[in-house]
Amino acid sequence: MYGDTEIRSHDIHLTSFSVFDENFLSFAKNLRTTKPKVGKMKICGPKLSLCGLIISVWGIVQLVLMGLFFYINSVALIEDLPLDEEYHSLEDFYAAANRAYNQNAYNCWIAACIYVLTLLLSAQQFYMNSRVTAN
Amino acid sequence: MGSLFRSEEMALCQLFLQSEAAYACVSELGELGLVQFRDLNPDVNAFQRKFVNEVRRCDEMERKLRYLEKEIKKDGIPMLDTGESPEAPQPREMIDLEATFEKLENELREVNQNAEALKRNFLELTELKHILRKTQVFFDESVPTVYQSSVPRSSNKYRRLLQMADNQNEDEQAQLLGEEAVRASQPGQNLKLGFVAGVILRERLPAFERMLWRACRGNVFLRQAMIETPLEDPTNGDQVHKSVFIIFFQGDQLKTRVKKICEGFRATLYPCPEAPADRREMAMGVMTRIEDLNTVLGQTQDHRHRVLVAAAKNLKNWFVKVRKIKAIYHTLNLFNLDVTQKCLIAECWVPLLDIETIQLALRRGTERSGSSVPPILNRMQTFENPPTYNRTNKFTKAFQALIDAYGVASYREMNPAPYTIITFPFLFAVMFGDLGHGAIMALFGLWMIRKEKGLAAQKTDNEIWNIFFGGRYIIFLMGVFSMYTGMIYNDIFSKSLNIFGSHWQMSYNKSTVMENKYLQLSPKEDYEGSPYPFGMDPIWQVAGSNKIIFHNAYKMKISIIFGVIHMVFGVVMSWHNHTYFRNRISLIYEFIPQLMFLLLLFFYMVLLMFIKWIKFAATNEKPYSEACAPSILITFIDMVLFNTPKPAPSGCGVYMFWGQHFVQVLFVLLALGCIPIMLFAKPMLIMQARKLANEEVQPIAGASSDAETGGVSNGGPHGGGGPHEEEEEMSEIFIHQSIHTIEYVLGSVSHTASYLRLWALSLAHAQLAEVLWTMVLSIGLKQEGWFGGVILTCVFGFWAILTVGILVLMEGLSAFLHTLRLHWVEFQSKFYKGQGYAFQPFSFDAIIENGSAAVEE
Amino acid sequence: MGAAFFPVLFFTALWGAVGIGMPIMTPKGPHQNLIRCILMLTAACCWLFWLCCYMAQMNPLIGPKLKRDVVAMIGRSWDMKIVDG
Repeated sequence: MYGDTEIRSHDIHLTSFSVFDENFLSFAKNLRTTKPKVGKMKICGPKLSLCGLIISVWGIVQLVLMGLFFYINSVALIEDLPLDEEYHSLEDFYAAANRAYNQNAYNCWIAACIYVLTLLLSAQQFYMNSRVTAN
Repeated sequence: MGSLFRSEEMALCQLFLQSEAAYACVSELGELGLVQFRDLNPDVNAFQRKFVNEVRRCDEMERKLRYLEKEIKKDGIPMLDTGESPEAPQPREMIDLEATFEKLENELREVNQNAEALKRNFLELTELKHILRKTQVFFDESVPTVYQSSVPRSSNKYRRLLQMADNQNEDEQAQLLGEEAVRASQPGQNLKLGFVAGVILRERLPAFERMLWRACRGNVFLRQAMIETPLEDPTNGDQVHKSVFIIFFQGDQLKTRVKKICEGFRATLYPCPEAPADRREMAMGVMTRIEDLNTVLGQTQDHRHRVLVAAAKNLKNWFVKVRKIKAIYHTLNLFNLDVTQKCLIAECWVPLLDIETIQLALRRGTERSGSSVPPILNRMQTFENPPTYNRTNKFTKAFQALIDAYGVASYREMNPAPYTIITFPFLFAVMFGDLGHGAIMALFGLWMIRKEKGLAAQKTDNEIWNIFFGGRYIIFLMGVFSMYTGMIYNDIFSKSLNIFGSHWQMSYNKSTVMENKYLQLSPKEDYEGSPYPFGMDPIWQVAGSNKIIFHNAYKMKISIIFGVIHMVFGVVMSWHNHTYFRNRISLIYEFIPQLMFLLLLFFYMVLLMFIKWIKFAATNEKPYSEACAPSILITFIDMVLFNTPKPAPSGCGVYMFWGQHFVQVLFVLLALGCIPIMLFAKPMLIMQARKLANEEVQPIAGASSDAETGGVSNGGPHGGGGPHEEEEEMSEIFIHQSIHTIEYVLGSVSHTASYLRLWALSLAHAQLAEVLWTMVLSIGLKQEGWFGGVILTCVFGFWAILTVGILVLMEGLSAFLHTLRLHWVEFQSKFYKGQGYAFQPFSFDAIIENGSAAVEE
Repeated sequence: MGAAFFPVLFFTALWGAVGIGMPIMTPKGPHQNLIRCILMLTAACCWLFWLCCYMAQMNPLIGPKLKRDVVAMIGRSWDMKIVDG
């Protein structure tokens, strides 16, 4: 209680001096701009976070779709499967291909999920950056 | 009026302005930006013109404003930019503005001078403070070895700090060497050491030390310590690192030498009392003075800040005002004074359609100036070539810029820009066809278009960004068309989509599949009979070994087909030019043979391609089966060279249709027949017309009538339309015509071949995309096990960056440049002269934009 | 002769509508001619491009050469049964 009133009186004292006014303002401004940097772990700058944002969105869209295509055993993606050169019978081949297709589909979706994480991260960073520049 | 198809009709006008009203009228015209003034006194020196004084005053004001701007930027004060453009102030307001700027500048200069002096003072004091602090350490270190008792103490009263010169140290010599050393060197005599202390730039210190050592032969003793905090240089505000040093020496000779060296190395020497008590006292004094200085400095800075903040609010506004005044006086300098001195005469080019608007603006200007006599705008007759003015909007501007980069259209010539709006992105897309890459490009373009206003407001001097932003509509259209061609090529990041179901069938049994490493489908039995409805059949993408063969045949054909159609389109445009300029001779003896030549040879080749596609099929019987399909290129070469074609394989025919040989011979003969017509017909007719004119009229009058006929008939290769001041020599006409013809004939061969770049680039693009997929993304996909997802994430990021960097940016740039070439050379050479000059209206907007750009540089 | 009736009609009608129908309907204004020109050129280019691709595949002279894996996969995924034997 006591401390509170003291601060207020100090405040009034400061504002009564116009010379100090500007100083005080710029000081307060500095405080505000530096605060988020220290407080909420700003890792990357505006450009990097934007880049992360774009690649994440792209990654999510493309990897989800690719996962889907792997899942429905798309022929166009057969070159991207880890398959052997020779199989004894067609059934063997189909079994291996099925496994590979499914594995790749899941891998794509896992990657898409990781991109959701990076999306959230870069979105948060982007938000922080935009707030800093807005101030 | 055909908005963009031809440039605007222009008129040369004479403008009579009342002296009093001239300023206001020109100001109104500047706001309008539709009038291009001509310099009526080109031989008058810039310093002898009427309003040179006013222009000079404006320059001075601008200089002051730039000084203010520099100071404001130095302090990082945001400048208020409302983006509005205030009207040009009245001439009498100029004095007020001048006074304001003068006052501001003086005030600021004074403040700056004061601040600099204070800062220098501050720097000296800080350095002294550091010296006192550091030397304390040196003295403390040497205390145990100093022979204290023999040092005579002078009356060390506290002396005024800055007055204190170091020569007063002369008598306070410390004996720093140990007793043994004293005894060893000069027994019985007091060894007195002098010292100087000072501050030097840190990077100079090693050289300084070396120099001291050499010059004094090692007889001096130097100690130094770094000042950790950087100090501010008052002259330019840089942060500099300095070091404190102290030098002990013996004798006057060494002393002068040491001082000389200090001077040479720009070291500042400070007095340093020897006694610890004095030093402490001095340090205290220094501290209080520094504090005092700090408050004074703070107040000075505050004052400066207030002045600048006040100025920053109006600065942009002032800039605009001053630039407008300057532009007006500059324009008034172009005018002529009439004999009565009451009236200014100007000549200007105006678009015919805007004369009403200009009249209105002039009336407004007269009213504003309170003059009673209205200005007079008179149309003049002229034989000069008017400037070319294409009215563009934000969408067409970039396309017009592409055309103007090659050459500004001659007056009223067909403008290729409206056609370029579609053909440019389309030909680009033929080379860049990929749904994925096109989508990236289109999204980027779309984003720029959607955020247009915000992005345009934040001007940057980043040149690459400005190019991208200026071409946002081009980029968007290129992206959209690339998506379309990508769908036709059935390429999305080099993979295919199977939407409608492949139209190839397979009927193999298991053993066949297991026994053969490769199986080739037969076009006879495995093909459904009708093609995939939209674009490439997806089966070709997985046919790794002969996909390229099929694609090459297809893409080569389409590049020739589109190339020939593009060129025919260009030739047809020249028809529009000839009819517009009433150039009958060129129309009949140039346009028609040119078109014939192109159609009979090259369009015939295009037709052959379609015939081949239709007539030859694997399902057909022998003369038209797949084995009999002839090569179009060989057929064409045989046709032009009149070769007898090589005998076909058994059962096949040499020709594709009945009577082909006859048709081909006829076509080639006709096409060859066109060449002499192009070559001789026009010059001959001109010659005839001249002869006729000479016979009809007397030889004296002959010259003028010659000019007339020449004016009508002569224009052919030069676009016509413009007046011809001088008669061309007959031989020159012949030479021109032959050059033109040879260029056209050889050009149509080389240009047709040049369109093959469409094929080459699109092939390269598709292959590069495929390589990137298999070499990069495939690695991520082929990982076995669950950890593959994590690896895929990284690989995908890498692949995405490479895709944007190489395939979209670099390939996009190269495809853009090739498209540009196809338009400039292959298309425009068929009709476009580009010998005009651009209409540059007097417009405040343009002047202010250029002005601010020039300042930012 | 290799062409199916429906796709040809559909795409020709589609681009015909863009290239002929829409220019007729463009509103009056200073840019009417420009918009018409743009629409007609777009339709012409896109239609011809589609047509060339269609015709190039209408009567194929060679068939795609496929690897064994691809053949096997096509047999299963694209509904083309590989018969026993």
